[in-house]
Amino acid sequence: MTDLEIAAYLDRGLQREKLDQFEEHLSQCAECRDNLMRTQEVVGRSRRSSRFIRSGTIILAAAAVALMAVPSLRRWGASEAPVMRGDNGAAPLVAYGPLGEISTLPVRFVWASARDAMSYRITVTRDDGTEVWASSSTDTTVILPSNVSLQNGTNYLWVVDAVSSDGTTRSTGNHQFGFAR
Amino acid sequence: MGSTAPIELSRLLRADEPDREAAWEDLIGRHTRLILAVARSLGGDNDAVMERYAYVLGKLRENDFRRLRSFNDNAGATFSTWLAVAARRLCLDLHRAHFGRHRPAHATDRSTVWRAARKALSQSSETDVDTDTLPDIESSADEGVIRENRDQCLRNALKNLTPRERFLLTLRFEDELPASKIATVLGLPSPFHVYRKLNAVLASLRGELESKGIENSHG
Repeated sequence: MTDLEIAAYLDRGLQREKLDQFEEHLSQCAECRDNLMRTQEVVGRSRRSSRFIRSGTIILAAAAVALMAVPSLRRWGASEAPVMRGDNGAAPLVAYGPLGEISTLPVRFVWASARDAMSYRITVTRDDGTEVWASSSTDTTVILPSNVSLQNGTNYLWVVDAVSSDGTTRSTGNHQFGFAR
Repeated sequence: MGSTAPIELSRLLRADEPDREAAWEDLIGRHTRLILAVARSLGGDNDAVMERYAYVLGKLRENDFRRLRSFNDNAGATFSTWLAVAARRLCLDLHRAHFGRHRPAHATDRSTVWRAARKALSQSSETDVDTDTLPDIESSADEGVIRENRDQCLRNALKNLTPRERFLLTLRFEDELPASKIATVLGLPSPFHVYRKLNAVLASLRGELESKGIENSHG
């Protein structure tokens, strides 16, 4: 079965003849059944999560409109502790990897997205602080260019700073990785 | 069926060289969460997850986005579902490259449905046919022949079912899934629809067997 056919089955878009062939195979193949159900779980979770985020966004937007429209609500909101922005108040940015020793190239740096981030600045240094490479990106993943050579057995540090439109930053902090062939 | 290709995919596949990197980053930015979820679904620590994630991205980029170009928006699948399936297949490829292929017993087994049907008939509370406990009306020398005849009748009866009905029997009696899970797999509205279909399938099988003289041993 091709990836497209499996996806069409999960989306209920498979034509009758293909559907019969597919279910005939599934009823005899434990491996394909297992694979289908696990993929269906991931897709289902992902869709529920997207719906949750959309609903949350709508609720937050509605709350913001209500706060702007009703002065008494605005005053009530203002009486709460002020929200601190900037390096000191913001939660750290999450770094996904690489962490620890890696053995394959290219090195791909991945981190979580930060709300309001306009761009991300990544810096790779040796553990003595010497800068090896730095770059900016609007994405949450970059690949270390092939012309930047990593030395076998050397420890490196990488850090990403998310820069918001108002100039505040959030950092992943330094994360260590090493390259060993 | 309308086009289901997202605009970021069309943009990437049409992009000229200078714009291609930005289009790729846009596409991945929008689907990172899904690819990471697939990578996580195979278990392991953070490094293992990130290795799978990076492998998937590398493979999607390979040969001028060959895999992404294979997505056909008229095949009845949305891009995100296809991407989840493709990413999972790539993750499994990587896993097999590291650890070899593990094939479960009876990975592809034509007797699966027959085994499930036998179990169904022996478990069903309404069923009076128990293919394992029919009376010993013949001498033990003939038992093998009787059993063979009985199993052949069941095989023939299964041929008259639709592929979906056979799949339903397998999910319920081979995999022993709950009705709610079966409803999700088959796209049925509720577990009650599963029970209703199962009862109909079992009634059909019982009728077929009884018409061949395989009847209740207890009543």
